[in-house]
Amino acid sequence: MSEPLSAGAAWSVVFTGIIVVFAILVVLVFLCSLLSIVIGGKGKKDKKEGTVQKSEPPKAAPAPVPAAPAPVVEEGIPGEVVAAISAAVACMLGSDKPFAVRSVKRARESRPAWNAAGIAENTRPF
Amino acid sequence: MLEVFLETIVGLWEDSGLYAFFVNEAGVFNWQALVMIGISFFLVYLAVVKGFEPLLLLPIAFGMFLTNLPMTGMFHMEYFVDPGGNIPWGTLLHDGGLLDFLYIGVKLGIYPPLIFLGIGAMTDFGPLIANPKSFLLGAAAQVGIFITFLGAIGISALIGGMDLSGLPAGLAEFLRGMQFTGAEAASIGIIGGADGPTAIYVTKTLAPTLLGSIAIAAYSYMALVPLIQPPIMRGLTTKKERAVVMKQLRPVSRTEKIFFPIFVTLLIALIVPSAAPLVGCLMLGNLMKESGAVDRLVKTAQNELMNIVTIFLGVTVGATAKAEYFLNGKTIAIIVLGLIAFCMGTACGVLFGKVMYIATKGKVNPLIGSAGVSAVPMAARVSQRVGSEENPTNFLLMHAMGPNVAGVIGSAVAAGVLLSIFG
Repeated sequence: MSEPLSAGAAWSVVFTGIIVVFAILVVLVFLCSLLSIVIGGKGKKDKKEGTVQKSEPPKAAPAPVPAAPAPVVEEGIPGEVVAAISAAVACMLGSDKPFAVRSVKRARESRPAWNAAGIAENTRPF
Repeated sequence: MLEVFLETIVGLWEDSGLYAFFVNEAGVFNWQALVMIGISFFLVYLAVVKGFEPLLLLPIAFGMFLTNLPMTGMFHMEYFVDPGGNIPWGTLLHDGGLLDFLYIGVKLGIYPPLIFLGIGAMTDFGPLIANPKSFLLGAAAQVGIFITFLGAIGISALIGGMDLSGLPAGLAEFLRGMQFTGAEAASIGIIGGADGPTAIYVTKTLAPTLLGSIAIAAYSYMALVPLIQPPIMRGLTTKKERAVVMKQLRPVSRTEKIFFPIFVTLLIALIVPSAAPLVGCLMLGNLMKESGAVDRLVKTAQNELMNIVTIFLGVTVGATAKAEYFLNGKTIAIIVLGLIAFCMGTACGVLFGKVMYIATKGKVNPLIGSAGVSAVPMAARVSQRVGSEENPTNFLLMHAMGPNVAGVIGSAVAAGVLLSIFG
């Protein structure tokens, strides 16, 4: 192919190229749709999950407010930190389990958190 | 004694790079090398001061600088330009310079797939799996590759049909240099894929002498995506279309994300085997990330491996931009055609987005079509930005990421097709 291409050959490359690229990506569209149906992305399971997720916020919101007593918070811990701790607990427990934060206390640690994280990182087994 | 001293001094002077600047092998002033060094400084400026894709442009620029310094012998382009693809291994091992050895990774097609491994380990295909129709936008944007290919062939035919005998010899030579073979035109077209590793992967096989020009054009235009795309996007869409708010994407399960790279590799490798190294590595990186089982390998692929390969790739690709291969009509034509490739890719993506807008009765915002030209994640960010100009509460980013990552797959497939035709 060291000579310049003729117009006919160039057009045939263009048509072949465009058709092959589109054909493969169209097959991938079908493959992905199939994958989501078979593996359950778009199936009934997900719809159920979707409805559960949708109905969660109204359920969760009224429950803890009247039930939970105000947590005992150590002096010097701002409200934002209490909120962040509560959010982290909610995240770890899963949002379907009700819980109450009863007290927030500072942990007495001899080693700062960043040092502990560094040691954990370096001593983690291979 | 004085005679010996003077002879030594003259010998030292004649062996120096400074002397070679003034008297090259042909015995004349080597202005071309000086121009190339000037261009490399300009690219360093663009990378450092203007922030144009600095991770690649800086090594490319410095490779260009090193290769054009006379007498260093760091890189010998002549070892790698055999049309049959043969490398004179004996000579290379005996006389090769540092950059010759590093360039073997480009020539043998090792670096681009390794970069793809890292890209795969950083890419979330979730938006694409959630909305598979995005694949079509990724395919549409690849049409720019083939239109540019046609443009390069058209220019060659035009110049071939011209009577250049009446023109000054220099100008005639310059114009003759703008004629491209089919393989060269394919390498220029792939710039429109807006994907550096893919462009390098194709060019190192089809047109090794153009590698420097094509890589520099590809990376420069990728950096200019935020300037090139918005006027085309605004010009081809109406205010109403740009303001379309798209429905939130469904969540994608981990199982889907794990099966996706396996199926895509299987399909593409079986249909276009020449795209398998690129797509295979992209998907391996992604599978490692999504599996969650090999965290250490993912970190290496994303960071250390990717960074090391980027340095090697950048410096050696820059080193191919030697004056004798770079300062000619072909480079000028590549820079113009590269821009056309980007514009055409963007336009085709947006136009296909409009088709989807009509087909879905206004549920698809055509602006996400422009993200089909790879350039991850810059092109998706541009879609987001242009969309938010019409409606500041409209978040198109995740919708645009679908066509964006589809574009990476699409350009790898297009590269495979071109390699199987011309390779």
